[in-house]
Amino acid sequence: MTHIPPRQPDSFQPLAGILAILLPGLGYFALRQPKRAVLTGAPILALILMGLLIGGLDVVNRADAYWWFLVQCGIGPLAFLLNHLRETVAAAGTLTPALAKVNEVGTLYIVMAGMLNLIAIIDCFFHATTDRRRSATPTAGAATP
Amino acid sequence: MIHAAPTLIAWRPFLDPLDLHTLWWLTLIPMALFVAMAYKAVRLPELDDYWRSVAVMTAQIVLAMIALAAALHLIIEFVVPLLSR
Repeated sequence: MTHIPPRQPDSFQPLAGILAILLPGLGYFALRQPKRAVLTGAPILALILMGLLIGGLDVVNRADAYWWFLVQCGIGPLAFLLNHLRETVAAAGTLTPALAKVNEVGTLYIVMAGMLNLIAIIDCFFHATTDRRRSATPTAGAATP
Repeated sequence: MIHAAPTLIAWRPFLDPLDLHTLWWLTLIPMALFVAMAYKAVRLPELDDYWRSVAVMTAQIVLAMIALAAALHLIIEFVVPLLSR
């Protein structure tokens, strides 16, 4: 059983929230939950990596896909770094634009990473204790008087 | 041999998109897996039952997408032609 140190229910954790914005999964390290940090950060980073491998750097495009980029910003400063890299590589003329389904899938991968990281950021900022989480689940909640 | 060199290095990771135009739908499976992993890591109160929950959610996502695709196929192929008569 994973031991999590007791905290106030839904306590405000600004440090954990800021760390979660900086890098996916990092906020849970501040909350002393390394296993949860790895299990949150690794799949989000894998989604970003796979999106980039499928569509190339062109899938993070602030200029041509602004609204998608806005959601991709959920991954934090990494989105701006990737957009800057894309602009640099595109200016050098070495970037092949992703078209059609490949562009859509690549973009969607990083959009999903952004939305999931946003959930993790909110969870780190307003962190609930294990007991509070357990009582929020439907089965355990039904058993609680 | 000199002419073959550009073909051998045709795909440059992160610079060129993958040629998945016919197999793009297969990317649903890893996406479903990673989404389930991240979501369950945040949502579960305790991580003891983590991998079973991830497997169940991955299967739910994939099956729901297949059902949605089948439903849309039926609507477009059969219902819309009926309505347009």
